[in-house]
Amino acid sequence: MKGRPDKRLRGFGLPPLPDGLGEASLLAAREALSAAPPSDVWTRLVCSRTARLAWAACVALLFFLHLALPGRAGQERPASPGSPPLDPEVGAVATLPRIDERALVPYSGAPS
Amino acid sequence: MSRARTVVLLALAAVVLLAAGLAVRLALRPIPGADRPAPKPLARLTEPPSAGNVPGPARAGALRVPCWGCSPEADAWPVRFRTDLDLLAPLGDGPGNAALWLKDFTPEVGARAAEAKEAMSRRVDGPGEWGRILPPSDPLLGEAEPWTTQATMRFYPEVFPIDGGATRLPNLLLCITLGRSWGARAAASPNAPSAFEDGRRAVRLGRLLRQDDESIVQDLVGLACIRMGAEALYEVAVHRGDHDLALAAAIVLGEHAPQRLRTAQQVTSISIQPRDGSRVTSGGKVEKIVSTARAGTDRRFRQEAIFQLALVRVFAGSSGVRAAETALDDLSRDPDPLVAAAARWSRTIDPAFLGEQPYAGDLAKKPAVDRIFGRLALRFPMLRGLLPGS
Repeated sequence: MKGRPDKRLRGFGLPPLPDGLGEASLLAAREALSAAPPSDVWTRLVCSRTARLAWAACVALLFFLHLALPGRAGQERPASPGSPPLDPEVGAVATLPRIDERALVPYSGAPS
Repeated sequence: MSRARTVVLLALAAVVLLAAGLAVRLALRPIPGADRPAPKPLARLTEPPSAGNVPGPARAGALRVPCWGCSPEADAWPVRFRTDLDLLAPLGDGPGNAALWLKDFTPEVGARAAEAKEAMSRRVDGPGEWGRILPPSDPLLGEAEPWTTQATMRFYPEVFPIDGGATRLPNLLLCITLGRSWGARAAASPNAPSAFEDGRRAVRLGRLLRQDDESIVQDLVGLACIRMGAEALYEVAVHRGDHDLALAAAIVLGEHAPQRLRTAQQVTSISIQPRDGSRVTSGGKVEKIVSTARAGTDRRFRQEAIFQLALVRVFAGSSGVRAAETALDDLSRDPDPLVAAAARWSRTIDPAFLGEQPYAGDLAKKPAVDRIFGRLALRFPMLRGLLPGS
């Protein structure tokens, strides 16, 4: 029963690679890669280091401007301290009828 | 929705929210100069007036009735009486400035504002259609009489500074009441020795009020006082058979309505808010306002045009704003100090402040969202036309 296995397996060695198998495999891989769907714009934006830096800078700048802006938003302004409104009696004298400019037709007739 | 798309949209939304919040805070921020201190009370005049001499009226020669509607050169006439008012009531030669007395009755700041209010409560119904007048023996009428013998009444800039839309006016209700009371007293008692003088006081008060030629309102009140005095003089003259004076008064009265209409015409032609309430800054309107501001026939119309140029700065497009600011730069160096002061105000006033004043329109009455858009348009002229409602 004892025997030398290498002698018994002699003749069962790996067969040589077929010619051109390597080139064919690489070609197929290249074709498969080119046939795959491209990454969309959203993915590219998310993955873009430049875009992420620009966004971060933008947000930082806006935060800074918010902090730098003095005053409280929505603050009401005081009324103008000008002259008080005209008394109705004065208004009756000082209020002039508005004239429709389209009605200002030059008078061309002789004095009557 | 892909995860990448969600992340990008959220990031963009954050930027947009921050930017919009910043824009709103910029639009709503307090305006420098708007929070001005309350005006200081004016010092009371304590010196009694030096009564001036008032000459008698000139005798009327051959009177001509000026035709405001048909004279070819009427468009170039200043809006002033063409008839010599010395025919009715020459001014006195008193050396004082009657404005120094009247300013004490100015609402809010006058030392005697409360007295003026009290005097208005003493008014009674006058005869005929004279309206509310002071009683004939009211002490305020007596106190005012010597002031109508002065040669001068100048409020600007000695009493009140030029402050654009906030320029202070004297107590015009008191002025109307004085003119009306003297006129009514004369008309009610045409045989009284003081009847002519009462009518002339009203005319002289009107002439004095028109000396400033600064504000249209004050000028119209002066014009009304002249009308009331002329009406009284006409009635007294007819009653006494003085036909020359009656004719002169009638001609003066005939010039009252044309001056009001010419004033209305001038105001309409230079207003960027015509009768329908819309705003007009195109179609030659800005050019008309600029030409009036530079060379109007009367200073009050120049001042009104200069104020309208401030509104043009607020509401017009870029070419209109440029034209307005160029004109205001020139007018800021005008030899007339009142015109120059008004131009400097219109040139430097913050458009956002001006845009929310009552005289600039109804922006303040708009809903909150429109107000924010409106304020953004006022703050950032380049956004005008892009924002809704601006």
